[in-house]
Amino acid sequence: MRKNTYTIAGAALFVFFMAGAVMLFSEPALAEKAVRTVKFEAPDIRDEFCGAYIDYRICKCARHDEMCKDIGRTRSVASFILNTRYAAHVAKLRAYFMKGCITAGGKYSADACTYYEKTEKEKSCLPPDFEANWVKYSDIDERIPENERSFEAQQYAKGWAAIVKNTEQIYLLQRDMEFDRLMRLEVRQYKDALVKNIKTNLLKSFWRLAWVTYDTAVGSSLPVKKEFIQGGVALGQTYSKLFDAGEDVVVQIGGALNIVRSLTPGDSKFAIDTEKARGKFMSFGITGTFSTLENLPNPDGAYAVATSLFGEIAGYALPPKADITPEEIAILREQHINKGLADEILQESYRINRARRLEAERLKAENEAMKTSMVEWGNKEKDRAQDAIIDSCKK
Amino acid sequence: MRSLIHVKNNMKRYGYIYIMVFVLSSMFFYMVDDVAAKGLQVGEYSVEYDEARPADTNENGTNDRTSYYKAGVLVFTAYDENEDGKDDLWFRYRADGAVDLELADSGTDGRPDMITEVDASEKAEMIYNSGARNRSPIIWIVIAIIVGGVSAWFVAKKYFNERVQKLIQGISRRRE
Repeated sequence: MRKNTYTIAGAALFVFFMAGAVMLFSEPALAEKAVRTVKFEAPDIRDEFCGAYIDYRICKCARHDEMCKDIGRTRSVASFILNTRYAAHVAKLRAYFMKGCITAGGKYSADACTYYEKTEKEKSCLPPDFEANWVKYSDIDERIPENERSFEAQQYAKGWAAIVKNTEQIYLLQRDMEFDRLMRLEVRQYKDALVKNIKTNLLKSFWRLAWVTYDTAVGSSLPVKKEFIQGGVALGQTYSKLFDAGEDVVVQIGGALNIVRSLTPGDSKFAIDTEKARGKFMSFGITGTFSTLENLPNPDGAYAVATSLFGEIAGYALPPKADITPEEIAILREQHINKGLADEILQESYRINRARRLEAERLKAENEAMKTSMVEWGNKEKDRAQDAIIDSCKK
Repeated sequence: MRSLIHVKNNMKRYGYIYIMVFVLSSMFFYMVDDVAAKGLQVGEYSVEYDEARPADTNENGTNDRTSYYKAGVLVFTAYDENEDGKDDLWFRYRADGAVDLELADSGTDGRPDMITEVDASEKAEMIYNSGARNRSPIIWIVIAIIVGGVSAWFVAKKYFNERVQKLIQGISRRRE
């Protein structure tokens, strides 16, 4: 029994050492030589963040429970604010680091940028523009059928498509949030004019609201999920209650309102803007390299678009019979102020916009994670393309 | 002395009346105060209101929104989004009608665990989220190792002692 045990152990050791020898002495695979690795270093929260990027008192409160009363915060709230803002700051710096690494020809992975030096054989086999234009030598090409692309290229394309789709969603969500904010402002101004009975302001606000409400109600072709629209009601339709509640309102101001309500989807500037935005995003095919991520429309530009769009729509010419009689004003006051209809609309608007905001934040976080994943798949596809060229060169 | 007796007699005669007046007026002030201004406490935030208006926003027969007014001005809104009978989303309003605070309960205890401040330009910033504390997983691994190690030590100690006892007994028997 003992002899058999020793024999088996000896054989296993022999196999192990032989395998090691084969690996050690066999011709090494062609591989780039890592010349330099630069690690991403997050700034020190105390020395480089507090005071420079955030009120130092928040740091004092969060870390030492001092000056909390000065800023009107509890320690736990200050701690949360500090950690959240620091995390956002580090994420921004990491994104700059990653972009710089890729631009300089390095490979980014796990918070480090590695620069490689090619062997002489690699330099002779690879095209001179490979580093700058490796994508054209890879399977990241929409002309190649999806099932014929390499696995790495398929993953890269999936990531890219998801980022583009998310960015489009974020853009439209932010546009609608800003648009809704302007509508709420208009409602509050309208309420104020109604309560104080300032007829000129009231008329102006009423018709601006009417135009904006019906343009967005008919033009809503939101590509976003229905969870953001209360009961399937799109932007603008919530506000249409202001003009539909109670037959009296419609009957009394009906003639002029009907002109507003006769807007068709084709006339809707809101609908046109939505289609324009979607078209812009659809134009980004999968051939986008990392640099094209920068060329994607910045979702934050949606705020300016919303402001401009709101102004355009609210600035429609007044209908021929735009004046409202004192009796009609009394009806509006009864419905919108006394019965709280205007407040109801404001409350629902805030609730829906909260859902939009949370979704936009979720999509942004998803995009950041996917960008990192895309970079790594891009690195793998580049290596695969490079290996394929070198292998065919050896042949 | 007579005046004291006089006072004492008066108190006996009218004391009950004084007590009744005191109790009734206290009740009156309490009720008036209750009707004039009520308070709503949501986490660390309190709101005064004098009128609450429930509403069924999705017309399914359950009130899922309560609007709180003070002197005719909307000051607070509470939503029961999951319709479990407990409010889970609240908005507080400034004097101009814009929201300045948003509270949310991600659990089911009716207490807010997410606080978001909204500035005058309606930019929102979450200032607290009790569910998002950054706990390093290393701490849990260390705790798990310590707990596991201590448990293993107790078990091993008990097992070791039993084995030693048996060994000693065995040796004793052999000697005998």
